[in-house]
This record gives sequence, C-alpha cells and structure tokens, in this order.
Amino acid sequence: MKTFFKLLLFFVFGLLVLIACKKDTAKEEPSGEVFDPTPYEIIKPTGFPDIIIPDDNPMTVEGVQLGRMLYYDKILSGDNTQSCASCHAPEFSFTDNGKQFSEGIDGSIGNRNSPSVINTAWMPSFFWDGRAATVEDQALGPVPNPVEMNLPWPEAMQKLNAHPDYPDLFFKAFGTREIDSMLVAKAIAQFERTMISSNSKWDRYLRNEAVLTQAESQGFEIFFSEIGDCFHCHTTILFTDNLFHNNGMDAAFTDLGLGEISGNANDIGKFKTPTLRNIEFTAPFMHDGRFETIEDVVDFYSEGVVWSETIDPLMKKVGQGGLHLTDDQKENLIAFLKTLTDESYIENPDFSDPFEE
Amino acid sequence: MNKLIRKTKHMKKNLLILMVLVLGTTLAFNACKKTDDVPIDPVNKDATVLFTLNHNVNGEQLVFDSIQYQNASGNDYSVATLKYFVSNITFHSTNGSSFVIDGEHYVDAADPSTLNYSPNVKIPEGEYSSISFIFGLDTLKNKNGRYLNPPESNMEWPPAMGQGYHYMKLEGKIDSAGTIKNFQAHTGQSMGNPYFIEVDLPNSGFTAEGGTFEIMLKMDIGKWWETPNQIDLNFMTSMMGNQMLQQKLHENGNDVFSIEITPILTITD
Repeated sequence: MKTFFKLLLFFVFGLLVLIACKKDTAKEEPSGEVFDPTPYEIIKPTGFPDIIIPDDNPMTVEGVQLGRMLYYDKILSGDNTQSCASCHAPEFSFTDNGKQFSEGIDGSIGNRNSPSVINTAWMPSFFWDGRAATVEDQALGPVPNPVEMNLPWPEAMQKLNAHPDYPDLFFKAFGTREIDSMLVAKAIAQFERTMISSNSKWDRYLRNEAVLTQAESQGFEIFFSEIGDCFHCHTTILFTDNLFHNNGMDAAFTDLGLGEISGNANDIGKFKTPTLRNIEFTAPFMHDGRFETIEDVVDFYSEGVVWSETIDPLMKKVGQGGLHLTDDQKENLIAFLKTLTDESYIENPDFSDPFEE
Repeated sequence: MNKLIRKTKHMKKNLLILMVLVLGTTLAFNACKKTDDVPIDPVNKDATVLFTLNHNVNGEQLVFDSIQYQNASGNDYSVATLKYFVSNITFHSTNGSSFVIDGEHYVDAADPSTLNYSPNVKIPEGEYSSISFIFGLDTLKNKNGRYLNPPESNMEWPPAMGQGYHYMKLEGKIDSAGTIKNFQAHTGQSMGNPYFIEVDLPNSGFTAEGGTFEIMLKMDIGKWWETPNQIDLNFMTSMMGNQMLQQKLHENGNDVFSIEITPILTITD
C-alpha cells in the first residue's frame, strides 16, 4: 500500500513536470475535432544559409499543402481565370511564360517582369523594389492588385469562406475556420519556403558529383574574377546578394525602383539583384524584361553599360561602356551560367499543380 | 493514548505528503524556468568592454554618397559603401603577456546594428599598455565556408583569386575633372598573400579594475590614401588581383584607426 502510494506520488509529480513544460498546441473544436498539425521540417541543403522561419508562421504539413492549393487555385482572382501560377508557372522556373510583362485578368499590363519563385526561404525582401519584407507580405500583394488578379481581399475571403473544402483545410492548418487574408498569405508563404533549388550541375559539381566542361570552367573563372565581375552582386551559393543596385541600363529613370520606396534620391534606379539560378528558363531578363536572351544580357554588360548618377560603384568599366569580353569569353560565361539550371526543381512533383493530379 | 499516537503519526504523514506536494509542484514549475541571473562577485576586478565603430573622413563624420571629400592626390570623392571585418582584438599587458578576444566582427558603416560589438568575454584584471587588432581576418579565420549567412557571406572572395572573404569593401565615386568615375578599394587575400593588417592602436593604455568600458574604434577613411603611400583613386579599380595596390593599402592601414576609451559604469565596493 505504502509503495503504491509512493508510486502514485511520483506519477503525479512526473505528470506535473510534463504539463508545466508542454506547449499547448492541440486545440479542440466544439464539434470535438482536434487541431493538431504535423510539423514540417525544411531540410537545408549543405552550404546554404540558415533558414529563418517567422515565429508566427511555423511550417506544418497541412499549411504547406494548403499553400500549394491556394498557389494554383484560380479562386483568388476576380473572374476565376488566374492563380499565382499563371504568372509564376513551373515550366518557366515559376516565371511568366516568357512574357516581358504580365497580363492581369482584364488584360491590363504591369510594368515589371515576373520574378522567379525560387529559394524564397532565403530572401530578405521581395519585389524588384523590395517593398515587401517577407513572403507573407509579398503574397498579400498580387491578389487585390487591379492590374493583376484584381480580387479585393474582402471578396476573396467571402469566396474562400463559402467554399466547401477551404474552411476545413484552414482549420487543419491554422486551427480556425474563419479565413482571413493573413492566413492565406501564411499558407502560400509556407509552400513557397519549401521551394528550394539545390540540384543544378553547379551544385553537383560542388558535391563532386559532376565535372565541368572546359567552356563551363573557363566561364566560371570569368564569372568569379574581375574579368566578368559578376560575383560581387550574384554572390554566394544563392547567386544573389539580395541587395539593390543600379547596374547601368539607363541614363535616366522613369521607373525609380528602390528610390520610389525609400524616397532617397541615391536609391533611384536601383533594383534587387535576381538570383541566376535557372535563368535558362526565366527569359526575358531585368526588372523590365528588356533583354530577350542570356546573350543579350551578356552583350549589355560587355558593351551596353551607360552612366547615370546612382550607378553602382561596382560597375568598374562604365567609362568604357562595359567589360568588352571576347566572343569566346561570352560563350564560356553563358556555358557556366547554364550550369545553374536545375530541371529537378521545375519538375518537382511537390511543387506541381495539385488540381492536375 | 495509543489511538492518539496513531493519530499524530497519521497527521505527521499527512504533513509530510503535503510538504512533498508543495516542494514537488514548485520544482515542477521551476523545471522549465530559465535562470540567467549571474551572481555578482565583488572581488572580481575583470572588466567588461563594449566596442563601438565610428567612421569619419579627415575628421568629419562620414556622410554617404556625397562628393565632398578630398585627398592629397587631388581627388574629390564620395563614399558609397564601407564594409569590413575586425578580428582578434588583443590587450597587451605591461607584464608582457597578452589577452586575445578570439573572434571577429563584421561592420557595415551604413547599418547601425553592426556598429556595436560586445564580445562575450571579460578582460582580466590588470594593466595593459596597448590594444591591437587584426583588420580583416587572419589566415586561420579566412577560410571559404566560414560564413554561410549574410551579410558576412556576401563578403566572399572568389577562390580563383585567393580565398576566404573581402577584408574590406570601400567604394565610391570620384569627380575627375568633371567626369565621374567609380572606385573600389577591395582588400583581401590575393594570390597567396594574406594582406590582413595588424593594427597597433596608439594611446591605448588600459587598466582593468572591474567596471564596463566603451572602446570606440574610429576609422579615418581619408588615411587609407595617405601614408606611407599616396594613392590616386583614379587607379583604385579592379584591384583585387593587383598586388601593388593590395600592398599599398596593407601598408596604409596601420594608422587609419584611433581609439577612445570611456568608462560607462564603475562598480564601487
């Protein structure tokens, strides 16, 4: 009896310790349904930076799956004709089908080229002018934008709340059936954070699983030396510094870029450095999609750089109009750039349209 | 009587259970509490140091992006970018020994959050005749892959040209007889030459007797172009592999820093 009593005491205290330490995540609905999402762990590829997940949007399997549905669902546009994937399509490494500017639901045209959704988990800012600081903030933008999906958020909420499946899916992901724009953004952000490209030939070369051709390796030396001087901005394993630069495309600017957002005259004409990963699929190029091919881009850096007041000090050869690469150097540089192509990324079934399965 | 004794015994037992319960519950709730109160040791006379970084040009507080500075070569110039590493700050004792803060700090003069450096060490009690540090990274630290996260990772120095990281990116514009040109003073390990700078700070005697000190490291950007080598910024471009320019900046770097030590808290016993 005594022993039993002691055991009981131990058990009670043990329970107390556990209760005191456990975070309360499970939540019960009046219907008796329990909110208990499964944590989703992003596996960071070797050599990549740490991934910072916001405290208020932890990754869950249910959240990622919901985000993937919302990404591909045309319900989020005013006339049910467009989804995020319309302008960020997988076969073009999540850009807009080779278009210079994207067309909104009513045919209106934007003024910036659709950027690639790739390795967003490491981006500290979004849009060419950096006006959104998180994927969540970015995802809030295109739905109500009149020249894009043109669906005001209150209407989007009504459509989602009246949908036969979404309220249950939001409960499973976030513990509530009351859908709001922030939860939509959070789900899409969770999905986009899983969209990692780390299996290009270049990655395999770094892992000693591939050998570069002579052209690729000569291109590598141009890229990573002051001959091409690409690496200062397209730096690290991400191939972007995620900072803003005026790379010398125009003598004067109508689109002010970062300058529009910061209000600082020294920021006029600065745009965010895009990653070079998968550029074989993401033509046309630059914030306004002015260059149709990679060859055009290389020609620009070689012969077409022009002076303007805010030009980046890293544009060393602006006085000579550019780098003046030889034809061989250009070819080799492009060969190297194509080692950044990752077909497994655009073909990844986890990132594909769930409505087509 | 017997009954009474038994009752007392019973009460004692109940009391014991109650005590165990109270104790147990307290323990249970404390089990999760983090304790980070550090006991104050009145005998310990080690000193706490907080470093701050300050940037000026010829004694004037740095203003970015304005062509308002001049050097001995007659260049009118601006500063657009100033990013660099300081590492291994060393306190040299009067008894001949030295205390090294084995670590590095990344500075972006445009980012206020990088202008303070609070290493998690205390300077042992004693008299120090001087302070020195390494501008950049020594050979042990300057290895590829040391930094995976930005902003430090963005200082990468391509393996094809050496290895490791830029020690400094100092960039801006020059008004060269009406034509505006870009310059970039990028230092780092180049073609096998380490080029990091061991900076001895003048007038940096320091006594550690407890308390907290703010140590301000002040860079005068203008001094990069002066002694012993006068530098014309018109030629300060594409210089990462230029051994002559790397060497000149390496030599000029020893006197660009000065120091100010201010006690900000003194523990009295």
